[in-house]
Amino acid sequence: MTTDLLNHKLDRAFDHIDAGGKGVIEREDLLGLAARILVGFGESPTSVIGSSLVGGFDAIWSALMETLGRDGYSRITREEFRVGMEKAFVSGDRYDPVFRPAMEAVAELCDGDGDGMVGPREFRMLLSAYGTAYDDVDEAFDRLDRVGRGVLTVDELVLAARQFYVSDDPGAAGNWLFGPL
Amino acid sequence: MSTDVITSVRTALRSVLHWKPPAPRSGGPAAWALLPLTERVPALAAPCRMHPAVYAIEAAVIDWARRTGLRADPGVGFHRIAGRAFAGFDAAAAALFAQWLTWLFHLDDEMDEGQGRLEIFQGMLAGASSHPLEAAFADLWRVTSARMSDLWRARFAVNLQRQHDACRLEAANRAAGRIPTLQQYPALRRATVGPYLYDLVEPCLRVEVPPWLHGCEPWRELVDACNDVTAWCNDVASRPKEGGDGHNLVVIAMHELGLNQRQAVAWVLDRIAERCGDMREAAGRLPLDAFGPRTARDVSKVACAYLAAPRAHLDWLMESARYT
Repeated sequence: MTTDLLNHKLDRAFDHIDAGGKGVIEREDLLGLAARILVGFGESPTSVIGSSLVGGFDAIWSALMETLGRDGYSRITREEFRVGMEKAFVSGDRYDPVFRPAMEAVAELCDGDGDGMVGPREFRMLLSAYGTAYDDVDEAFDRLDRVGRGVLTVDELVLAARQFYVSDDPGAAGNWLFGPL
Repeated sequence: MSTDVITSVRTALRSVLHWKPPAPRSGGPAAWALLPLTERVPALAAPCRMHPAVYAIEAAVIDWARRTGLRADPGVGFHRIAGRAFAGFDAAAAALFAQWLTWLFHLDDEMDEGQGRLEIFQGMLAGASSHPLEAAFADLWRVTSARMSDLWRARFAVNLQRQHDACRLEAANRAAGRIPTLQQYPALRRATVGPYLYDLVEPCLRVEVPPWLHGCEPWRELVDACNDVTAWCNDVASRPKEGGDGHNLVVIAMHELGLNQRQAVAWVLDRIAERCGDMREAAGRLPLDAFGPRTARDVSKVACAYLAAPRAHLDWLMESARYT
């Protein structure tokens, strides 16, 4: 059973994919988000990290469709997306094997020099790809950087993604991952 | 489509078809010299994903080829290069691109081996469909251009003209026994490869990149660098079968820099690695934030297809029977 907060976040996640505002999404839309993220960082889908990211997003879509009993080329509505996400990744057991690797790939892409840290510039590039308004990015960063170091760790970013997509805790920092709700 | 654009396309196509294009860039075992790139260039490190519907794409290409009277040799596998370059998009996108590749290579073969080709091309330019190449081009152009603006069609025509001009220069070089310089060659090669291939990504994905972006330096650099990487990889793979033709970066490096074959190949691999770096840098400078979310997503899809193209091409060079 999802809460209003989680439903609200899942709606936001749907909007991240539905860049054209059509009200339905398909596999190509999710992979289009992956393309937007990669190109923003200048990353090829045929690098190790690029391949992991695209493969991860594709796996998320496959898990969603499997959960909904649909084929991979189906279009789904906002309501179906909510149901699929809840069954597959919130109450279901697919988050760690399927969703988390994709989020790890995203976080590692943001860690361009491999030092385990994500700076404000890379965070802004990421949130720009998701469509977060320019003025909301700094606040999102500050909410996630709870100790004020000026950087996030890759692990913190991965944890924030988990909190955003599956947590119904209103106090979770990850609720701010993509800006104010 | 306006009459002017139709005329310009036909004029450019007529020009191209009256000049013999460069011989097919054949590869075979020489392609294995490219393998070190997969270890030293991050963007070439991971094999291209194959489209999950690759067999449906192959079937669509075979069906289309039969309808238009062309061959679709399964060993050549144009569906496999398209299936890699468009792995993240719908099967129709990959099928359309594979059909264009099939047509272009048939045209290439016809120019090299066919009899009475001028009569065939006259019919094609007149919109006839008695020869398979005529029917195939008419079919592809109808499907492709219907989705696009006059600006895109005009760009396609200009790039056909660029190819014609470059082929003409190559022919003149050959007749005079002239080898282009290292400075001249990149621009010449970008044009002989058929620069309109890069224009076809947009209609295959059913998007159109805003015209002003085509004029932006980062976009031009992304396309040029992608073109250079794929063309120069092809040069390495095809050199042994080209009989020393001077329109090959390895041959030019040997000639101009006084290198032996091994050294020249290594030098070309260095240049390819540099251009891969240029692709990454150019992609990162694209002004994506200047667009709304939907347009930025569409532009990214096209750019991502370019970023995937070098490895897709490399994988294809390794497996295709066309060059063995």
